[in-house]
Amino acid sequence: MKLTRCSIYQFGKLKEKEFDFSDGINLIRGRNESGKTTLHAALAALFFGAEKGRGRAAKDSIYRANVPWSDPGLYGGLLEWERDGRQFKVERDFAKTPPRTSVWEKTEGGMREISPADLPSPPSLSPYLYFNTLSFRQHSAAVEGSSLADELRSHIINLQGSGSETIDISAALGILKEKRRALRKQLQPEAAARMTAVRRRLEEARRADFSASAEDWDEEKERLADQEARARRLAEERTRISRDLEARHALLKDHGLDDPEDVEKDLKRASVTAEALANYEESYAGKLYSPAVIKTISFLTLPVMLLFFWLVVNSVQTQHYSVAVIASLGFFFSLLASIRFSRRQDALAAAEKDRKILLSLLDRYMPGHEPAGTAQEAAELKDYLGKVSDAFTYLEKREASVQEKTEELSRILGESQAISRSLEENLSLRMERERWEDGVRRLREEESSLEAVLENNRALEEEIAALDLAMDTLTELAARSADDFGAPLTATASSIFREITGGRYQGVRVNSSLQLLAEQDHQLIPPEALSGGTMEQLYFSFRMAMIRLLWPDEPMPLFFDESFAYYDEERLGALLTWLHANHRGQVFLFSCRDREETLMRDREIPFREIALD
Amino acid sequence: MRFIHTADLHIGAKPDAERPWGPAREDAVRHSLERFADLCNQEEADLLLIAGDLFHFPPTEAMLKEADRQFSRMTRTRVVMIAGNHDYLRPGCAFSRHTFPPNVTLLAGPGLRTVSFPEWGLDVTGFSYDSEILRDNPAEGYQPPRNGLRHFLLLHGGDRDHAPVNSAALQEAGWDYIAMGHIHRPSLNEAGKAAMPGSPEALDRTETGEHGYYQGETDASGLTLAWRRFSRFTYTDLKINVTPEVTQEALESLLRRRLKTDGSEVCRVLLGGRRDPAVHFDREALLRLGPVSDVRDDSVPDYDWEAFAERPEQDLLRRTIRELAPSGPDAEDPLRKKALYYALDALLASESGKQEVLR
Repeated sequence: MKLTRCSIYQFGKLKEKEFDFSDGINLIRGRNESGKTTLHAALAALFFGAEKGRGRAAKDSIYRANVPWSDPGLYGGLLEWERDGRQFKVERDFAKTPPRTSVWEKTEGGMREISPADLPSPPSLSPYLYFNTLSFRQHSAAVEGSSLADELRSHIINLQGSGSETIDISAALGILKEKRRALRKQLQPEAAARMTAVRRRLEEARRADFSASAEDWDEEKERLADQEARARRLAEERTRISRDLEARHALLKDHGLDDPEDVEKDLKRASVTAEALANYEESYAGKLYSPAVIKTISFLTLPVMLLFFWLVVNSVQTQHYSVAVIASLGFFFSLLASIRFSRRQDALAAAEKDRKILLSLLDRYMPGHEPAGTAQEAAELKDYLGKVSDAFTYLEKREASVQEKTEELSRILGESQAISRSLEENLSLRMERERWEDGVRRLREEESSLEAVLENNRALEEEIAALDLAMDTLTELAARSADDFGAPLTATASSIFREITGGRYQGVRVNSSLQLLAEQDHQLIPPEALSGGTMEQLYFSFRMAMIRLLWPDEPMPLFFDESFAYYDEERLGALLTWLHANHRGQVFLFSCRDREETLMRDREIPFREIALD
Repeated sequence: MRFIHTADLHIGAKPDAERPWGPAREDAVRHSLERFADLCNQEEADLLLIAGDLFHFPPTEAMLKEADRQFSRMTRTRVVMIAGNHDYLRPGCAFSRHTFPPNVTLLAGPGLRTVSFPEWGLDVTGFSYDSEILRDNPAEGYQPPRNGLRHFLLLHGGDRDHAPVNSAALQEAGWDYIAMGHIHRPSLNEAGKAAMPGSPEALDRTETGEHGYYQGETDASGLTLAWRRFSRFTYTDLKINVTPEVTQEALESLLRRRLKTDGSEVCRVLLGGRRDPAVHFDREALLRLGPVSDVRDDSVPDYDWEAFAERPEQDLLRRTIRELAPSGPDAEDPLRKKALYYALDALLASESGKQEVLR
């Protein structure tokens, strides 16, 4: 491409200036502060456009640096250039926000306005590359070193070809990285671990066995209720019986009947007595003889017998046999009477004794009577004591039954306690089971919400994998291109460097971080170890190599803005000669000195001079 | 004999719990048995078959009590049900201990159990789950006796972990009707005897389409069967093929017109087609539009592939296309296709960034 004309309305200190440019070298002369750097910036701004920018970056933006001093309302200019035989004109008004750009193409019929987007510019020509290749600014042809490494790596890919748009692989990778970061932020990486934990807990829960708490719960409860009812009934009965027993005991005691053994003994005595008295009364009672008579008769029988005995003896001796017979009869009868009455007397004595016993018993058990000591009374006593004895026997039996009930009650209570205990255990098991069921439900809910999260994670991871693949692919393609590009780049740079140093250096090397090294006698020398002039030559060689690789077929304009301060006469002369001989595009030399002009005239290098003053 | 066959009511489930329509879904699921009770009364059904998963999990006593209430409301309907893999009968659980109203029979065995209805000449056989997984099918290899009665089988499952079914063998076994459950989408085998009614209510957003139950009648001539819609609600997959003319707002306005606001439908929006490369649809904004359960954007940017092909050989964009999709994006697997679109999008964005002016 070739710049043909530039018209500045206002740009920085420049105002209403017009410049025509020609092929080959354009030497733009002007004193210091006459606006050389401003014109350089204006050309770039008119070509690429310029915007205010924002924030800190805005402070040192070209836009901000060149706002016209006197009349900011008129800020802009017009640039004309040719490319591939077509002519274009661009007018930019930077005073507008955003700046207004109009583009025309010159046709046979005149000027035809075209869209700025349709403006064909050399491939890959970005402001960034412009400043790192075509534009040599004051005192520094140094490329931006390692930061360029990344940039160049990305540009390199597109450089060998032609007609490509400007792709910025770093920016593209940055965009992808940013997307990846945003997606990763949406990931919930803890979900997988939580899911594992939930599943494990569910698995554990599945193994929990609550069958013990199961079936007979209701039966057990019924059994407990039965037992308790029975126990209640038993206890009530026992109390009732005990009360009854107590009352009966008290009653017996009131009658002096507190020793069943005594009663038993007395019962025996009473029954013996009753029998004896009954016998006695049956044998003797009601007969004519009262005890006094009997006693008297008993007392009299012995003398009567003796009397009869004496009569018998006397009458036999006297031979009064009839008397003797009668007296014998008398004796015999009195003997009989004596025997009989003595028996009676014995019975009477026994009866007396019995009666005494009876009376004493009656006195104890049935006081308050005037007992006669009859068999009748004895029988009554016997009956009475018999009943008392029966009562004692009954009480004993009842007491035994109370005892039995007490024992049963304690057995039932024991059983009830066992049931209650088991029910309590069961209840706690049941509560535990209910808690467990609640827990399982919660785990299930958590599981299903985690499933949704995991599904989302899976979708995100798919996207992330695609992004990774995209980034890997771009990086690899870039690296491959950089490798393809590296060799010709250094080869070209080396040949230029050799030529402009008159063969003192053999070549240029580029290390992996795109740092340039000069090769001299098989040694690699970093730029900072070179003299200022040689360092500038090194950068110049590398830039020219880049330009050749970037735009192999298109002559590109070069801009040198007071860039030769470190060059001595010889070096500068060699460089200008080289440019004249090898560079097909325009060269813009911005200079305040006569050096370049003198050198070119000496070497018969044609140039066009444009005075800025 | 008229019967209704349902399964997978999943009472207790809370679909889309954290979404705005979640509570309404939960209520619909909770009231489904109540609606079946009404339906049985209205249709004068003799028999209600519930082929498992009446509940979403082993039910609590309170849930059983609610179910009893509905069972008791049925005026003439007998109920036969089994427990499925969700509401399985764990030993000692409330479900297995529960005493149902007299019209309800739970075929509670892990082995086959049969309940007879002599008045209809019908035996209903089935089995219940006693855990979440059942790798053996108790009905496998069993043939109902040929005793002149009709034989129905209640069967929950059919996949590997849930009573796997050999459908040919089951078909041969001679059942008059196989009332199945477990799969939430309705289906009927070729012979028209093994029926899966699907869940009466949709239980998650992937369960699109209508949900219902089978209604059948047996008489001397045999079995007649019809599937009826039950749920008034559907999840719908809304496929939208966009064109490069469609912008975010155009899409939103289209969706606003299409989405139902009466609570009868929740849509999953599936975007396809080609969009303007500059347009990126805002998923969150679409989700906010109304009953939208999810948005999947599979639309691809409408690139000018011919213009790409005119780029120089070495152009990174062309090389990226060659590398990731040598035979065009549609020939690639989804991952490479996606990667390609990501890469192209980023490269083009970087390009437009690079056309920027001096700063």
